[in-house]
Amino acid sequence: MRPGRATLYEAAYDALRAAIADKRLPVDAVLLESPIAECLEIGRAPVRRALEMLHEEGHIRRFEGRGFLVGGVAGSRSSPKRIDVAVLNLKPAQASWHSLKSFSWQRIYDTAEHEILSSIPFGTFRVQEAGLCTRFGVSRTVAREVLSKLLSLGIVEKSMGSYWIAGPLTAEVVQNQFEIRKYLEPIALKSSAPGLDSEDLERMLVAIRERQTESSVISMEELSTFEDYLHITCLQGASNRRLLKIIDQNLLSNIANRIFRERFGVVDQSYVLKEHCAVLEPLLADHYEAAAAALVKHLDQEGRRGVANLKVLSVFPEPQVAEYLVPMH
Amino acid sequence: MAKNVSLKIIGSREMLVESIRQRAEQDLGFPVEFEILDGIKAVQRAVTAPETFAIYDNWHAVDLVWTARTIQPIDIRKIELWSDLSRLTKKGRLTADSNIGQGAAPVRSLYVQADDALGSKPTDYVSILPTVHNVDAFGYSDDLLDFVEQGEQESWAWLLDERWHGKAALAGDPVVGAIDAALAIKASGLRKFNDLGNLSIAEIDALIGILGHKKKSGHFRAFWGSGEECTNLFKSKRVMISSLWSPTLTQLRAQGGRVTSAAPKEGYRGWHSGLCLSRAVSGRALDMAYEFLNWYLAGFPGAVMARQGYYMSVLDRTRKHLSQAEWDYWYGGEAASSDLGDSDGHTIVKKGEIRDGGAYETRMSKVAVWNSFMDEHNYLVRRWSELIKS
Repeated sequence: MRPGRATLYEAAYDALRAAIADKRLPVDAVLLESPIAECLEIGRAPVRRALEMLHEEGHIRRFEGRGFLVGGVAGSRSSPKRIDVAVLNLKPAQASWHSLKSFSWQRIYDTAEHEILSSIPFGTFRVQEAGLCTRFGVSRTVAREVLSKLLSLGIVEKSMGSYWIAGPLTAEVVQNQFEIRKYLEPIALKSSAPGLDSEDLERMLVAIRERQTESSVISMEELSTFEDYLHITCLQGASNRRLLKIIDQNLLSNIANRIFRERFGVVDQSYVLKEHCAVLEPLLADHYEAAAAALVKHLDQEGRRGVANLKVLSVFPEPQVAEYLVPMH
Repeated sequence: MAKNVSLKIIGSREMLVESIRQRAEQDLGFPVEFEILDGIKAVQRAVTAPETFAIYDNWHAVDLVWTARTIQPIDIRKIELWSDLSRLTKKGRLTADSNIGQGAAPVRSLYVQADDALGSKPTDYVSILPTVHNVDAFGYSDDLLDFVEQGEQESWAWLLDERWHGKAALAGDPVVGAIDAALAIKASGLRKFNDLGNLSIAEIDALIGILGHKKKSGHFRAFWGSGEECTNLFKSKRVMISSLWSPTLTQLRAQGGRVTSAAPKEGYRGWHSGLCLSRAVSGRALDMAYEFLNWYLAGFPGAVMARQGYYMSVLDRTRKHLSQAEWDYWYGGEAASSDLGDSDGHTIVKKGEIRDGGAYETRMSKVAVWNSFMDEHNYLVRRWSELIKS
């Protein structure tokens, strides 16, 4: 498998191309989607796309039967060779293939999540499964897995009519979610704090303090590193896993601040960084109650900012959304 | 720095009147450019491109530009007439016992606090220089009075009253129309609202539901999009009652229409506009901006605005630029001692007429709710446009 191949259909293309090149797949061998997909342990959609690419490039051709034949358009007629692809060892080395599949899935998930979250401040959307399949070149199974995870994080819901809905992200949702987090995150923090790596904590605090002395504006990416550390890493050691799951389901409230900051910059950076230090400093000194209280203050402010930032976003027309998102209302 | 750098101001057409611009250039000695941006376009520009203007004339959008940090605080020590600003503006109410009114009362977002939030506690810096303000209510034609009982008080509930079924209209812009509707619904006893200036999701849903029902039954003739459309609706007698803006009332009167602006017993919908400074302006341009701000309060603009029915935050300076008759009518609530004209000279008030609702103090101490950008603005706009399309 060529390095840098990030999608399944590209990797499938590589595998088939290699097998054609070294004659494991001889000229006139019949290529059918299902057996190939089964052999590579991926969905039919990426296989279909890979075959289309090979066809466009002239490595394979259509014939009177189903599927393709190996070899470009030849002058002479040949008889299709039916081969059992399962014995051909099409799949590349196990570890890289497996990591590609999960990496690929993660990329698809992350992209879908970002696209949906970016749209919900602007309305309510129906998420079309078929559209997701087309957008990412994946099977229904994979699309449903993506939707399943989005469902577990409260980013989509299933409507009465059994279709998937995302949004709207209203000020009410932002306030309610931050309220839940204000109750639960301090509890998780106090439970998790004793087990936190002090070197990591110290490193993070130093990074924030350095940032505070710089006059340049912090990027959203950098701020996300700090935010993820505070709201995810610092809480991870909590013994109550159900508690963490509920917190997870209320993190989408961040998107209002995130979109605003991506668009307008982190205008309130000095306050945000101060609030971070106010949590991490007592944590480092094992003053867990103080850290928890500071976390509540930070969440309070972020919630307030979330509502204000959402209001600014509300004067802009709906942005172009991904094709699998259909506006409702 | 170029000697002829001009002062760029953006805002709506009601505020950026040409006669004001010309007089400013004359009095201040530098070029002044007005760029008219209607509706939401002004806000969009103000939050995204502070480098394209020095001053933003706006109403109830100050929260948004402050959040986006595209404006800079105004130092009130550089505003000569700050101490002359009306109590209404600085304290939120004219008299100690009048209520402040729900919604975005200007004082609530006026002073810059220590943590950069905006609030009513006085400091040396403000987010906006408060200028033009007014109260609005609905308007109704004389014909409507035939259906009204002896001694019946004007009420927001009239907008939904079945007695003039099919002859009612609301403003098509949800920022105005929704609050008028909420006032009407509350006055009719159909529903309570926690804060009329900041409706919740459930309240918006209920409001749209009630209006949708009324619309379906044919109660509303129109949801008008412009002041001109509103004028035509009254003139053609297609409506007897409607949301109404002051310039529209003035225009109707100028054309001989007999429309009264109500003084509802529940109070008015208030609004307050002002001038904000772009964060991108500094040096000479900043000095020019402060000169304009001071000039704006000094009387001439106030007089021009008065003839549109608008009030100015510095009253006595405005008074000096109005005739006695004008002051007595527009601010004093007294009968016009002569015919009065608008800034172009057309007669808009006949001798003997009294301004609906009376004097400045009477009207401005009865604000039930201030026009605001609600937290759920986006949701309101979407649901409102569903309503209009249905």
